[in-house]
Amino acid sequence: MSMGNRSEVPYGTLDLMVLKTLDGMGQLHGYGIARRIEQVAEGALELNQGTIYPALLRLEQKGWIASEWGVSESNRKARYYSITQAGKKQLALEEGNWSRTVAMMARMLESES
Amino acid sequence: MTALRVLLARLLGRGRATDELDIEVAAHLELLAADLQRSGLSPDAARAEARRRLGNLTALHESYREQRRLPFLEPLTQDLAYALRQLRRSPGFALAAILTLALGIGANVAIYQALDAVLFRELPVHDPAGLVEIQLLEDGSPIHVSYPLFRELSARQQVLADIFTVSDFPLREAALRGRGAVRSVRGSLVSGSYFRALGVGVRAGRMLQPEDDRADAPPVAVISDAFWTREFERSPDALGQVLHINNTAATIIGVTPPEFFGETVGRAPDVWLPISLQPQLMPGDWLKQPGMNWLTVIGRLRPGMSRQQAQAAIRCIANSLGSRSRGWARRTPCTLLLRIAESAISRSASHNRCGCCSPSRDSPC
Repeated sequence: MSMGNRSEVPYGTLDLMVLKTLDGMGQLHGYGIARRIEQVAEGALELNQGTIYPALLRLEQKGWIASEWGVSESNRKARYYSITQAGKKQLALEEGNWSRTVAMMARMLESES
Repeated sequence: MTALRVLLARLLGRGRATDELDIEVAAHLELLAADLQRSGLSPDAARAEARRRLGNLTALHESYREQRRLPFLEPLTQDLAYALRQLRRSPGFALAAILTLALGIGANVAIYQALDAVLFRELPVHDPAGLVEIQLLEDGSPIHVSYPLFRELSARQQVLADIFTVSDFPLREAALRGRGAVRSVRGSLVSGSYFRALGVGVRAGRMLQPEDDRADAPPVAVISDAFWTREFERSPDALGQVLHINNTAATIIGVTPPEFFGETVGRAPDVWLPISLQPQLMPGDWLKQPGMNWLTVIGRLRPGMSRQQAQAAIRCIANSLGSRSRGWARRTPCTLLLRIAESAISRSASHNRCGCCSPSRDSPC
């Protein structure tokens, strides 16, 4: 489901992916997050990398991640993100929702055949 | 909650500026290009590919900016647009709603304006709280004072630093001639110490003084700032011109300050004239008639003098006057009672607090 200019990834799942990434990897900058997501997806995901920034802003507005300025590997100023306590709670919540949704869809699709 | 958090961040200076995105994007591009180079591309190709992978930068800035907006604003503007569409579809209802709101708001504004003028705004006179009104009581209710009584009070009293009398009743609709069609102006008759006692400054020229309030003094007038603007377009030539009011010629000698509107809220005179002109301005000489009660008497307490002390002093005067049975009031003199009341022009709006008393035998008179 494409949303035009936005990510090929459905709206809500990008948030979940970002939170999970930060939860596992500690502090990352925008590029690092995008790269990690692509890695984990093993190429199955076409992520328009730019779309990560509005998502990061949104997550920070909601208080689930925090950011601070740092220096990147190429000695350039970059913003580093990390997950917050509230973010971890949200992550657990969304993971639960996601599993339930997946399980339900699986049952739904199995019962068709 | 998100809205609050964003607002707070903005206020504390931690909101995002647009150029910060540029910094992040620049870092991102550099790192991505570096990775692509490592996987074999030439520097230029790497940079191009990196830019391509980052997607449409304009669109990115746009969605970033959208996200930065205060979160409640967008649904709010959407709701407003919807509401407007709905209203346009039923204009009758819209009109009824608008009229009702207009009436309600208008009424409230009017009431508060009135309250503001009466209660909240202080009159532009010096120390309005120090002003008191001397009232003549008949059957317990205040009535106006006659001119001879005023003269007696002025002469005898020592408890007030200044005393004056004013009446706007005879000249409420005075005829102004000689300036185009005859029209009515609102005038006020005041004794010579009116402006001095009130402590009113002057906008132009000078104010009335006791010397002007004599029968043999040349007739003069003081005009209000509004009248000056209306009639003379604030020209300095107004001073010295002659106003023909009720067939009496009075020379303009001064203009009051713009915010001064007299001693009573709600009645702003256009012109103040010395009370000695009364016999010329209307038939009958009221100045000589003790039975003619048409004046308000106001005075300024001496510094440190309380109203109770003034009241006691006035009581003495009342007693001594009453005993001479000069008919100072409409009825017999034994009903002559004077009291000091809070002047209409002091800040409080309540006038009828009873500081009154009846002549008592054990008063120190």
